[in-house]
Amino acid sequence: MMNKRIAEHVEDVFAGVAPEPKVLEIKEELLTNLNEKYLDLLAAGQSEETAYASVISGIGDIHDLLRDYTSSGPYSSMERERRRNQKNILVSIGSAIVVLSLAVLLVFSYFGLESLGLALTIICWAVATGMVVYGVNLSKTSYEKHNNTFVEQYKEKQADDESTLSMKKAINSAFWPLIVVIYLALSFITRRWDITWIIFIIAAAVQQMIHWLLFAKSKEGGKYWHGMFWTAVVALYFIISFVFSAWAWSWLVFIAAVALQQIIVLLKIWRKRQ
Amino acid sequence: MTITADLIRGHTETIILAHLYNNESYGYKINKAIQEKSGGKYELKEATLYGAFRRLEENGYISSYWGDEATGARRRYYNITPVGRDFFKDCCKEWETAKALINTLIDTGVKDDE
Repeated sequence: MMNKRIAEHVEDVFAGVAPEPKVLEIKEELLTNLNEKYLDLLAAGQSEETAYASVISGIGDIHDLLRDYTSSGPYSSMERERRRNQKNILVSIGSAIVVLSLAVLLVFSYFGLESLGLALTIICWAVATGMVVYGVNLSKTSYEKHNNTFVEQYKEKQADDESTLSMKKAINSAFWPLIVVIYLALSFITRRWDITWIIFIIAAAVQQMIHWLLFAKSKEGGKYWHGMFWTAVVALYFIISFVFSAWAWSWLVFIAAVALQQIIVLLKIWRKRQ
Repeated sequence: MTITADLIRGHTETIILAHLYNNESYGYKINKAIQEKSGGKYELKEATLYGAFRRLEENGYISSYWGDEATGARRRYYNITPVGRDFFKDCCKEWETAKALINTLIDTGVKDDE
């Protein structure tokens, strides 16, 4: 018979730790040994309370041990997550300020106040740089703190890469010949060789989107999302430029894209916190 | 007590191997033996114990299997391997050397009772 309080305590200790086979083995081993110790202490005449306390205090820092068997211990990953979020918020706000400062400069120049606009812009940049540097340092210290998890992250990433690599290869090998066929067909039919090459940029965006949809749940998801987003922006830029012959202002797409991206990042962080 | 623990920590694996040298054993039994032998002065934390088990097993110094207990909870038993025996002997030699060396180095020439 298993003591319920000890079992509950062990459940608490392992809460949030990935139930990998090795972890479950340690858990079972721990539970058996703790229970036997508890019964021994009772048999030696200790009260249930004293026995329980001495059993629990004898466990030690099990997370130190688990960090060797899971990709990361619950504390380290929580801490890392927190710091990464803080960094992302700071970098987001910093980039938003930079983008905003350009708008400030444009508006002030419009009213003939270039020098004031420039001064404000420089102040904005200084503040933004400070925020970004602080944010990046914040995440750096977290890496130093969990030196071993950094290596494990890399290992994890490698394992991840290997399992998805073949799938990626398969998609690429079918995808690009198809795009070339579509490009040639479209070009011959429309005779618009000057524009049709944009299909390659669109294709790149679509490819990134496919990767993103397929691997959204994996660690790589974020990478593909950014890839998709930016290739789509480049495609949009060329399309707008050609269709409206609007090279004079179509570059604003990039600034709008930066702003949009930062808003999305902020929304993601906000949703995670909820 | 903490100072003693620090001094002993580096020899946790040697101590565990010593408790497997003559017969197989499992976590609690080993820890209980350590506690009794030390007169209640020393006891390994569970985390330290399992950490040492895993390292020893990864190095091939011990092997383990799950017992088939009649009454519910399964025990994980450990056996020392031939490589483990050699390693244990090396550890003991190393300790003897270190012990002799430290004794020489901390000898001030002053007798205890003076």
